Amino acid sequence: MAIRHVIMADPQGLAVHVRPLLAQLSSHLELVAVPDGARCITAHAKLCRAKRPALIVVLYEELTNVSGQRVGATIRSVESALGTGSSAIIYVSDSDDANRLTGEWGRAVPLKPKTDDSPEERSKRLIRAIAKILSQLKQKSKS
Amino acid sequence: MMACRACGHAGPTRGIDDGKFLLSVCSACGFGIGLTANAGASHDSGLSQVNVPSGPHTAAYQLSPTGPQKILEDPSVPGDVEDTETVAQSHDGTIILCTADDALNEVFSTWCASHGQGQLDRVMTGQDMVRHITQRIEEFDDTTLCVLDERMDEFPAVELGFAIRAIEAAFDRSRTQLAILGQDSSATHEACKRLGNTTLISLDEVNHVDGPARILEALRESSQGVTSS
Repeated sequence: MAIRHVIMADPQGLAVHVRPLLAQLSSHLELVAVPDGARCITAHAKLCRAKRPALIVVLYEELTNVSGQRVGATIRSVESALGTGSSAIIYVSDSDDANRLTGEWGRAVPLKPKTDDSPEERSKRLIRAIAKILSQLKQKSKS
Repeated sequence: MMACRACGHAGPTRGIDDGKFLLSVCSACGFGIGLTANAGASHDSGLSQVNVPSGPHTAAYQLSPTGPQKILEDPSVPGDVEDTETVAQSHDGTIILCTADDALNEVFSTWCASHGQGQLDRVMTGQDMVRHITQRIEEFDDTTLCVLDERMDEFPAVELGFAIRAIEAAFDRSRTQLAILGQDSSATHEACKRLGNTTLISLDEVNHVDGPARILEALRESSQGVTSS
């Protein structure tokens, strides 16, 4: 089974906690952690160009250079331009707009951040969300 | 006397004569005003306009793929080239204009037509801009200028600039020249520096009565390598 990528625009430095948890979840998943919105677009477009689009993109609302909201829109435009499959998007935001935006993008879910939690707790919560999406993607591919 | 449609200047025009046609341009901004057939040009034979190699020069052409390619003359050294011609030579490919402002689109359409530009593509939203530039980078890579209007709420121009830079990086392409129509603030100037190869054109100038001429002047400067106005 080929390696699939999970891109995480990671302004909070959670990648160090998420990486081992993701490896436990599946040995076929590789985490690509990037510090800002622009690098998230580059990572996603590179994978699309290689015809291996990312399986999941984790986007935080607050990202430097390009905000999470615009990164989500850009991801869909790049996929449309290159004719590749759509990555699932987890949009971490407590904005009221999160539901509307993820609905517009399609194949996307909003996730409310819990800022009081420790980084380990937040990472586990994110992994649970990723596991849920993987399960839904598997069911979809079977049907 | 015809007033210039770009800057409104009603003064004398300059003429560029290539022997057969006379192109009148505004002496203030260089905007093309009209093209007329030159009265002194001869039109006796269509063949006279076709460049047929003949006489002593013919021997210098080597059509064999294995033969030496000889250049008859050295490339001409540019002399006192006028500004308008410099602009026309520097934007041979496609200009992508991202704005919802119809008047601004009209300005650029007129400018491109009068300066012999290759192509002007207009997109109405930031998302369409991303889709269009991605397709062009992948298929042609001939985009010479992207003009981004900061007045689009849906995708701010500076963020759109960074998104374009990110896509260029993914395709290992060099930085396309960008022009941001935005507020003349230190934050936007700083963003333009970080984007690289980017010119800020103040919205105050766009809204001014001489706005079109000022846009053209800023584009002229940017085509000569000025990165921030």
